[in-house]
Amino acid sequence: MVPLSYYLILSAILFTLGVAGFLFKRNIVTIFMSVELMLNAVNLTFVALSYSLRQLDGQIIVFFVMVIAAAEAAVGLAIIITVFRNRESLNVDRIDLMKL
Amino acid sequence: MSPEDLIAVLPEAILTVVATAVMLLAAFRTKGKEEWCGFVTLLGLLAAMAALILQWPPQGPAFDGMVLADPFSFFFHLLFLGIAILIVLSSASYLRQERLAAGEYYALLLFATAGMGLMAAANDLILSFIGLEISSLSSYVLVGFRRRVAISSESALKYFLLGSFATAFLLYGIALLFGATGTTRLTVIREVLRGGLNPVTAGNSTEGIVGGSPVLLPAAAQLGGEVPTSLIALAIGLIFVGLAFKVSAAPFQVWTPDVYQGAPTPVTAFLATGSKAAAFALFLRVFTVALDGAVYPWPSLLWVSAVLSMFVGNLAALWQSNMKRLLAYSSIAHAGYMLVAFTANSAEGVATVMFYLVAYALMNLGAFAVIAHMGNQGERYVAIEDYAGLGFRSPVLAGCLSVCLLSLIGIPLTGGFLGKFYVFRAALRSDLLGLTVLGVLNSAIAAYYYLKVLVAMYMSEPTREVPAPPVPAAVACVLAVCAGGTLLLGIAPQSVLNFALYAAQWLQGRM
Repeated sequence: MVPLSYYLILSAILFTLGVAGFLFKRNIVTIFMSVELMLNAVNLTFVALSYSLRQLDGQIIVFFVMVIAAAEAAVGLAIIITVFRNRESLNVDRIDLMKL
Repeated sequence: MSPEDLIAVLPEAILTVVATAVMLLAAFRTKGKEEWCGFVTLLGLLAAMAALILQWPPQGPAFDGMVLADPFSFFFHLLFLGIAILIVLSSASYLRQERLAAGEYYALLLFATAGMGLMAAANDLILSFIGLEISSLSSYVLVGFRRRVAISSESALKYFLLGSFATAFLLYGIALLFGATGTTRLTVIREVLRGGLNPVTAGNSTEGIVGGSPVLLPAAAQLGGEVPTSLIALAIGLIFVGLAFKVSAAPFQVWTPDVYQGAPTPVTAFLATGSKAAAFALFLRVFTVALDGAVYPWPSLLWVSAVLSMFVGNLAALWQSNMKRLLAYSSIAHAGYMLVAFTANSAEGVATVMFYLVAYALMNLGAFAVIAHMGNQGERYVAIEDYAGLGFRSPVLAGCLSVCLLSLIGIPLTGGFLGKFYVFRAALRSDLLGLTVLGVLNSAIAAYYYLKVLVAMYMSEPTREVPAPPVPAAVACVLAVCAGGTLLLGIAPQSVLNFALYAAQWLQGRM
């Protein structure tokens, strides 16, 4: 059996990759995908813990998270489309109408 | 599902049903639908308030302990519904002027309010998370509601991206807490952390494992059979990041000014009061109930964040020339004051945060109602110099704004003063002398930028022509409630404070 720590470390790595993508990518859609990656890393944690604790709670949470991620994608893509219509760009560095 | 269960979520149920009805109404009615939608929304909010009365006296846990309709949730429900009513009243004329779709707007507002209600009542991290997402997703859309305006969609994008980023952190924290304690139920987590229950069997005894058979767990061996401290510390840190973002506390406040500036002004008011209050409700519940017994000293995290928020908010606000941005930075600073009371980590501190949220909601809603009205079409007049001479052109409007600003400074006889007073008293009683000194210092810095607006209103000549349209009846009503409420809280705070204290004690003492 693969030990629990392997799963936890894998999901920590995936989460960190998501954070790095969020911080360093410049394309809005890629940034959005990084967030999805973070959510799925958390899902992996939930499933692994749930299996190891022999509790179904964790797996049920994963369903909820998937539904929420889907709703978030719907809202997020709509927002990205309005931004694109207004600015004709998907580069975050150009979304700079408001500054200190 | 028993009738008690239904009563515990009846306000949310009413809000969601009415929200759907409002959307249908907007789709099918052609003539005068704006008025109708607003009217139905108000009725729905009042009905939800009436449903709330059924929850009194407070009952036990509903839905097998998932929802707690306790005085704490009662208090916050009243606050959210009151805020939503005032926002609806001040939105009607704004929506007409900006030609926005009223049906969707009101429906989203109702959904957001329902989500906030769940955040305050949830006793399970899954439900808290879902409530948070319901309210956040609705607010993302509301922020970008002026979709043809570039800065509105830009602020929606910033809010959305940073919001979902923070949500992921919160969720990761929840996952680790689940792993460490074997449960997501807040009250059970508390027992586990206090060492009363075995982390692995805790979940089984209260939740019941599928199939009903008690299982001996390999995980117990893997996790060492006791609560792993480092995992808990990591979980607390991650949950803190997620929630600090939602209350716009430093160092997770970067989104606040941009979002507040670009959002439609009534929505900004809603974010500054409703969303912040809901996030604080969740914050208080998670930290004072679930993490009460944690070995990790989380008040030190709050200490740092409180100091940073106060300084960042107040110092950055000094240079602002846009009213909405000014209030955004002030909102960061006020989150800092509330965190000061929270750091005290006592029933009094919790009650103070609750009192402060009420006072803050009243003064901020009043200020934003004036800004929304003054902004005129396309929000053209939102700079501080546009308020020059307002005291002579429209004395009543300026008077209401002055009351709100004085309360934000913390001048005696206003709710803001007593709020700050209780904050520092709670901090002193928990021996947080340094934090109190820094807080008082910050209140002094803050006076400068609010006074700048007051000086503009009463002591300077207008530099450009700013139209002064007549105040609609609904907005006048909001202003009267906010200004009157602010003064009332400053003179007779006892009933609100006592109820908050009662709710806080219930929260802390309850299993």
